[in-house]
Amino acid sequence: MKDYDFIIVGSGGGGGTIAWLLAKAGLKVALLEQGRDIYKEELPAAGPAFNARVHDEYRFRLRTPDPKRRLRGDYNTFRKTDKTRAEPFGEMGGWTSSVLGGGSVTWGTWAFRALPVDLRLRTHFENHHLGQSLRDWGYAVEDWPIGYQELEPYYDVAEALFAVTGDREAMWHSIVKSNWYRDLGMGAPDWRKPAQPYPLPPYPRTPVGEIIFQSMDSAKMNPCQLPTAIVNPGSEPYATREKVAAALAQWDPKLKKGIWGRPADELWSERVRQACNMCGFCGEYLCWGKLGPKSGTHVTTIEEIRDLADVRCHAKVFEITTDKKNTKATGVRYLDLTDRDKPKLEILSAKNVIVSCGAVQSARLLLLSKIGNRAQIGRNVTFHLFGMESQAVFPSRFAGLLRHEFGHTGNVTSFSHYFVQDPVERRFWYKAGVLTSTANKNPLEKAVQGFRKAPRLGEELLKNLERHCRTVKVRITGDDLPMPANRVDLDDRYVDEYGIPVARITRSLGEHEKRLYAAMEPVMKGVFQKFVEEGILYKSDITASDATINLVGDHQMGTCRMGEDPKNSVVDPECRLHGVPNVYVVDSSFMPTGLGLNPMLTVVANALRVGTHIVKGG
Amino acid sequence: MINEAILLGLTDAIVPLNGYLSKFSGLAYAPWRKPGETKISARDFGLLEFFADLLSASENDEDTQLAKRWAQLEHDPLQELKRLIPDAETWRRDRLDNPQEPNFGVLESENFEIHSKVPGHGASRRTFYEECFPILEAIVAQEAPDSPDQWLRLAIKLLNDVHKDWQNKRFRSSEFIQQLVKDVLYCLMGMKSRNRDPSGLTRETYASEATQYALLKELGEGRRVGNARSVEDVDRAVATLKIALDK
Repeated sequence: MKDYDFIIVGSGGGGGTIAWLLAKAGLKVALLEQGRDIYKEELPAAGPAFNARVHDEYRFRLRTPDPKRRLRGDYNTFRKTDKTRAEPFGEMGGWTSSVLGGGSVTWGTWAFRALPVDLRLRTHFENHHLGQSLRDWGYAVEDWPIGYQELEPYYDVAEALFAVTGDREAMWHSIVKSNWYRDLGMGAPDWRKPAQPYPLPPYPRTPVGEIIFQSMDSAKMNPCQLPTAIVNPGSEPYATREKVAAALAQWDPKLKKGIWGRPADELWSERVRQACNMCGFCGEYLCWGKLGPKSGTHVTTIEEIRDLADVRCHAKVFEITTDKKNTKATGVRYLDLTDRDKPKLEILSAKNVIVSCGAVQSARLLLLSKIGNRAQIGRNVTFHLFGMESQAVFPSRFAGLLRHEFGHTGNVTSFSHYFVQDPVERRFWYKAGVLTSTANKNPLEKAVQGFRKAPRLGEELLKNLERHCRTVKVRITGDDLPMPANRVDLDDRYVDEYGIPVARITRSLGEHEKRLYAAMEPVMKGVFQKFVEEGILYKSDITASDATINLVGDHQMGTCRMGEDPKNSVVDPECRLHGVPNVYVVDSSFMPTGLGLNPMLTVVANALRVGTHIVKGG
Repeated sequence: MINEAILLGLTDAIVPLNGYLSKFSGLAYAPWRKPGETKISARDFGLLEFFADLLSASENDEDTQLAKRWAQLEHDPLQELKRLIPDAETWRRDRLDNPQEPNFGVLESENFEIHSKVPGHGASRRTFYEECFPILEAIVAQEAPDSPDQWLRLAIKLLNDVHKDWQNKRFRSSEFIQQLVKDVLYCLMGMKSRNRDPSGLTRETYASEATQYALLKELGEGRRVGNARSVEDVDRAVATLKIALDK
C-alpha cells in the first residue's frame, strides 16, 4: 500500500510547479521541503499588505546560518580539480535555497526563455568550427533531446504563472538584430517571436537602467527592458487565472487535452497578487508583499494546492528507498527537522519520487540513494560565470542620482553578445549570454565585502562606501560549458550536522571560458564608451572582472543531464532516471547545457512539460 | 559589558564621520548638522543602545547553544547519524568511494555567525565580545589613545594582527575588528528593522528621525527600511538623471 502517488523532494521552480500540476490532476502528492515556510513565519497572517520586518539586511543577508540559503549545520566542500583535497566551502559556496519555494523565493526574477540554439549547442558548434576544439579542451557539449518547440507552449503558461513583465517586440529586436544572429545563420523554422505579448508591460526603467539603455543604444546593442517576474508597480492586482486562460487560448487545440482542456477556473482560484511597491529589498531577499508581487512557487502554485497536497516543511530527505533490485523507488527516508536538535527519522512510501533539490543537492541525494547511473550523476555541473562584469564609477556630481534602491536588481538587458566573436580567429564564436544592468542592492553587504577584500579603516572605508553608490555595473550571464571533470559527488571526509556526507563540488574554468573573457572584456568596458566620449567618464573609471571560480549557487545546472543514451546522461527526455523509471528529476540539473540566461523560467516550463507527460501517461 | 568610551573612541576612528564630512560631503545642508559644521558621532546614531540590544538578542542564546553542539559534533561527527539509523557507519561507508575519518566542517564553511579562523572556534556575538572587549580594554588602558589618529593607529594594528598584547587563542584581533566594522555599519546604515509589531510599519529607532539615515544620505544611498516607491518617483528620478547626463 503506497501512501502517495508522488513524493516530490524540493519545492522550488521545478518541484513546486509539478506538485501543482499533479495535485490538480487528482494525484495524491506529498511535497517535502527541508527548509521552513519562512514566508508564513515572517509575515504573519494578520496585518497590512506590506510589512517591513524583512527590511533588515544583516538578518536576511549577512547573518549565518542564513535563514533561507543554507540549512543550519549544512555546507558543501570545494576543490578545483580532483587532484586536490576538497575543503569546506565558504559563504559563497554552492548554497541551496532552503525555504518553502526554494530558489524561486531568493532568485533575482530575471525571467528569460531559452533561445532555440541553447538546446542545440553541440550541433551549432559542430557547424561553426568549434566542435572538435571543445572536445579537445575537455568539454562534453550535447544537444538537448527535446527542441525549443516542445517547451514553447509551457513557456506561455510559465510566464502567466510568474506574471512576467516585458516588451516582446523590443526583446525580439535585440535578438534578431544582433551580429551573431545574422552571421551564424540563425532563423526559421525554430526562431519565431512568441505569438502573444508578455502578461504585463515592462517594469519601469530606473536611473541605472537609463544609463545602461543610453550607453547600449549608442553602441548599437539593441537594449530592451529586462523580462521580470514581478507584478508591475502601479498595476491592477494580478489575476493569474485570466492570464493562464489567455496563454492557453494561444495553444494549438491538439495540445489542449486532459488537464489543459479544463476551464481556467478549475486550474486556478480567484486569488490575485498585488503590485510591487519598489521597496528594493527583493534582490535575493524575500519579497515583503504579503500577496506576492515577486513571483515564486510559494506565492503561486504551492499556494493553490495547500488543501490538495500534503506540504511538509522541515523535511530533509536523505535517501530514496528502492526495491531489492534497486530498479524501482519505493519512497523516501527523511529527517523531520521540526526540532533541529533532535530530528526524527520518518519513512514515506510512494509509487513515484520526483527530485528537485537544486542541481547540487539533487546529485547528492541520488548518490546517497545509490540509484541511477552513478558514473554520470553529478558530472557536467555548470554555474554560469558570475563575477564576469564591468563597472563604471560616475563622478561625484552623480552622488544620490543613481537610485539603486528602486525595484529589483536588473532593469535593462541586451542579447547583442549572446555569442561573441574571437577578435583574432574570426571564425570562432564563443557562447556568452545576456548583458544586463545591475543595480547595487545591498549596501551593507557590499560595504562588508569591500572591507574584506581591501581592509581599509577611517576615511578610506567611507570613500569606498560612497564610490559604491556612484557605481554602475553590467553583468554577463555567461554560459560555462559542461565538462565531465566539473562535477558534484559525495565528500569522503566531511559530513553535515546529521552525519550525512556533504556534496563535494569540483570546478575549473576551461579554455572556452578563458577565450570568452578575453573577447568579452573590451565589449563589457565598451558598454560605457558613450560616456567617455561625452567627457563624463575617464577610461580609468571603467574596470572589468573575470568570473569568480567559487561563486556558485545562484544558478546550478547540469548534474543530471537529460539524454537518450544512458552512457552519457542521467535522465531520459521525460526526465526519468535511466534504470529507475519511477524517479524523476525536474530542477535545473536536467539541463544538458547551461543557458546564457537565467534558468528559472525554463525550469518551470520543463516541470509543466514533464508533469503533462506524467498525467497523460497515468 | 562594553566600555562605552572605548566603543565610541574606536568607532569614531574606524568610521570618522567628522573628518570625512568636512572634506567630502556633497550636501549643502543636512538636518543633522548645521552648515559648515560636521559634528556627528556614532553616539548620535544610538550606537550604544544598538549594541546593548544586539548583545541581548535571543539569537545570542541560540548561537551559544549551537556553538556547544558544534563542538560536540566536531568530536563525534556521526553522533546524530548513529542515533538516527542502525549501523550508521556502514551506511556512510557504503556510499563513499574512498571513505575517510568523518569530519564536521561547519565552522570552516563559515555557516555560523562568528567563525574564527582559529580552527574549531565559533561563538555567539555576545560570547565573542565578552571575550574580546576585556583584551581591548587592557590594551587601551596601557596605550591611552586620546586622539582619532591614535585610535585609528591602534585599530590598524589590531586589523593587521600585529599588536603584541592581543593574546587570545580563540579569536584573532583582526577578527574582532572585522566583526566590529560589520556591526557598526549595521547600526550606522540604519539597516536593523526594530519593527516588533508584525502588523504595522511603526518603527522604533536608535537615533533621532533626523539622524538615523544620516550616513546613507551623505553617501548618496537611497535604501531605507520601509521604502515604498511609485512609478512617478522613478520617472522623476530618471528625469533628474537625464539633466545631469546632459550637462
